[in-house]
Amino acid sequence: MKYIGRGTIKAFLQNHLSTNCMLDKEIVQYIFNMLHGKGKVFHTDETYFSWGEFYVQVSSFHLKEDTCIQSVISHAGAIELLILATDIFDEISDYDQSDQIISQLSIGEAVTIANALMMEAFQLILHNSKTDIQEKLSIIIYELQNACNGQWRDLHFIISECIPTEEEYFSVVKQKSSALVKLVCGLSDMYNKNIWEPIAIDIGIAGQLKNDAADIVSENKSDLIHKKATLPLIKAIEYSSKKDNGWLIKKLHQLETTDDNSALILEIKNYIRKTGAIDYCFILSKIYMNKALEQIATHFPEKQIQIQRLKRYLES
Amino acid sequence: MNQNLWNVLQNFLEKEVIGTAELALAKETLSPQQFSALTEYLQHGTKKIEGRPWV
Repeated sequence: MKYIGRGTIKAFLQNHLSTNCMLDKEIVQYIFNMLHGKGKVFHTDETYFSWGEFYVQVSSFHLKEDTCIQSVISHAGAIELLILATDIFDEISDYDQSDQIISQLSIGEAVTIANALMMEAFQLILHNSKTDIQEKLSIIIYELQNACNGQWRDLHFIISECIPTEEEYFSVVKQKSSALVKLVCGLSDMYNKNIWEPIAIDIGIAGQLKNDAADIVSENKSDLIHKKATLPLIKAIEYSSKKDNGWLIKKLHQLETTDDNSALILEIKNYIRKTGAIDYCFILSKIYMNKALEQIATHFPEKQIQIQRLKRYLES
Repeated sequence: MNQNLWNVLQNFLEKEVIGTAELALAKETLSPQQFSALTEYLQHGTKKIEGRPWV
């Protein structure tokens, strides 16, 4: 069976949103613009991860000659819309201003667009599923509820008087970050859902560790400002409490009172780098990703082409 | 188990150069999976993976 590339998903979404979708033209225009962001299917750099393409990659493990290609493509498009909706909700709940388009919208506008995206995604799945619709919706709803619970825990998972432990971090990440990966894997290979579940958890943890480490080295991200209890910060605080009598915690407290935080944030970021916490998270991310790929190789030994393709994709 | 990896990295931080002696000690301390990921990371450095969020 021919491989479905990113171009096919893009063409489908372009056609669907322009001609088949009943949403207001202005909403559709915003959706198009947002789908050009990092990690989205229309982004100019195609080496970036896209959830729709990931859906296709997992689907390729069980496709047969008679599989309805149109159904796979439309589901991949639906996944792109669904994940974009959850991104918008997350941006609003995290008070994150890093997305240029979302930060220019009012909360009302952003919520309306996210709602529209979610409904459009459900509509696409309903209209392009000949069988198993109840099972599919059940997977989607269950994992979206899981993601909500994870997001709720994450909102309150911050550095305060009590410093969260590494174990608590993994518990939150497992719920928050793995739910969407489980959703995509479960939907794309329903009959092997149990095989994919531990794999999805490891992929989700690997991705979150990488993001949390990258957040510290990035100029635009906001975890530090919001004192999110990410693993790099937890480990750097652990280092600081042993080596310099809690210098880092004192600096984090200053963040509360200082108006212009940019110099202080830079100082804190440089400190965290020097503790080895960033390296630690990147290496752990690699360990979890390797574990996921090993499990895939064990369960699907006859799918070497698909395994190598997925490996290249996840490690790109 | 992750604590071993953290300890190895802390040991590396104290050294100016990471040589064969440090790597041999790391190999003894870590699981094969951890050691493999560590050496891969040391070979590629952080440039390849920084700033590429995918989730």
